[in-house]
Amino acid sequence: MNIKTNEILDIEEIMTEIRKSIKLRQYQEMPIKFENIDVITNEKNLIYDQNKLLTYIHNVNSHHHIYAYRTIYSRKGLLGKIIIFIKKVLRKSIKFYIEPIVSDQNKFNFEVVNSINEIRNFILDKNDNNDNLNLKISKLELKLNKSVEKTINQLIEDDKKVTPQISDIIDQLDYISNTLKKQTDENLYLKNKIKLLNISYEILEKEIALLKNKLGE
Amino acid sequence: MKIIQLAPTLNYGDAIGNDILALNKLMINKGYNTGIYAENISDKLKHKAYNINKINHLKSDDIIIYHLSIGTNLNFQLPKYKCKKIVIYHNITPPEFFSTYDINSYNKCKLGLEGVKFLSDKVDYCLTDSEFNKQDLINMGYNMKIDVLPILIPFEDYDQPPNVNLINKYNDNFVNILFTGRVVPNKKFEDIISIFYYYKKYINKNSRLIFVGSYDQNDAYYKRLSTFINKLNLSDVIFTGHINFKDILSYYHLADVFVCMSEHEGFCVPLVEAMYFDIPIIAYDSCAVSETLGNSGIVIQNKNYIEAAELINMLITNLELKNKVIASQKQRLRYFSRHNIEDKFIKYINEFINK
Repeated sequence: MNIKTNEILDIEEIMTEIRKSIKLRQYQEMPIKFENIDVITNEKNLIYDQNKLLTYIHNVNSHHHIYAYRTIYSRKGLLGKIIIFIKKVLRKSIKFYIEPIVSDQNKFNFEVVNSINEIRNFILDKNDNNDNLNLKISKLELKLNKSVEKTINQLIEDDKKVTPQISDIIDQLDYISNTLKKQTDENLYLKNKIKLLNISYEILEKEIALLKNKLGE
Repeated sequence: MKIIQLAPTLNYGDAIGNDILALNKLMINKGYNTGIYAENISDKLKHKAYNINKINHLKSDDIIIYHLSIGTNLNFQLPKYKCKKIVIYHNITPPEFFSTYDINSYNKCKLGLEGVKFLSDKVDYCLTDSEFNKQDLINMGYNMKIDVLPILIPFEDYDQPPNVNLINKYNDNFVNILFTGRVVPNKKFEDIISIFYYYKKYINKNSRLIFVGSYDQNDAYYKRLSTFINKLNLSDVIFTGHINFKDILSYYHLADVFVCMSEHEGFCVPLVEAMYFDIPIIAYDSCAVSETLGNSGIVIQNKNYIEAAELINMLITNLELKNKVIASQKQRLRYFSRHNIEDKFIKYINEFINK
């Protein structure tokens, strides 16, 4: 263990004390490490990690076969030899029972491992298909975007041409509209003048009729 | 001119919540027109803050102080406020810590980092709890002025009387090892448990490990820790859960050593709390931890559980060493004094207003 340098503490002295104590206590390794504890989580709480999956499947393929026979040993000297002998006798006496169970277990493990391998192949195959599809989609999207961009650019160009023309037309329409308005005003003026003249004419006619009457008398 | 604080959440009892409240009190005392606004306000603080919807029209010379600490859509809405913006960055836990346990937390942290990057060119000034957090912002493209302002801790609150019944319950001849923090993967509770395993089994069976902090019984990480403790046949490990402040004080009064093996901290308020209660600290050198400790406590640079257990024993049995460590921590504690932090904050705010 490295302790960060500290002006106040004598790190060397501390570490020397620690190492001395460790030697005296005869530590043994922890029976289990945290990384060997399974994570129990909801199905949807995990993030899929393909590399982890392949590693686990590789380990399963390497370790699925169980051996019924394990080496029997003892470190206890002469007593150990007696213990080994007794254990061997016991092992032979239950051989008839254990071996079929181990054999059945190995058959089952073999089927399970094959199933997992098939699932792995299926996943890898599907992932490849997905990758290909994603690539195709990307290419199509690129094509579509280019086409849309081209169309938009064309529309912008056309718009640049058409806009002045429309502007001209609008100007002309404005001119016509103004002219029409002028005409309409003139027409109105003339109408009013004609009305006035009609009125004057009627008055004159009446006056002429009166004069005629007077002259007739 | 208004200076308002804005946060996604205002929680009772957490470090950021306390920081917001302390800054609010300071600004009121200094005569600023201020207030606290948040999207979510815990019940106990409903009288101290307003819902974000109550933010009135802000003028261009008003200031929002935004506390950036989690993944939330509010991070992306901050630019809509047409006023000056200051971000106080408390750091976002890297999402990888949650990838094995909880996709929601993973996504939330990922969203948080995206929010931090999004705001890199949309704020006017930044304050960070530590140099570590400052560097984080620089790495994410922030190129405006950034100053370091440690979290404002209301030390006077820690002088309140603790829960005497709780102290009596655990005030025996046991050595009490303490860590304070939410039960989350980045705080590496499993390392502290491993150290405690060796300490209890080989050095001192009369010992107790106390974790003060909230947890969710259904959380995958907590379940994994529980299984780990059971498989080690380890007794005297206490998870207090969310407890009231008096009980927290009690555990600090009871503690003989504070152990922190966290691998991601933007500041780590519990370290400062342990300093305040004269509890010698052993901490793993990661992120802002050694910056917060300064030249105090004992900072280890790799995790050797057996050696760490022996180090705990040295702190318990070697009075001279313990006193040296506590003295160094007392010295460091002055940097976090209320007066010091308040002065810094007012100085930074005035410089920003006057620039």
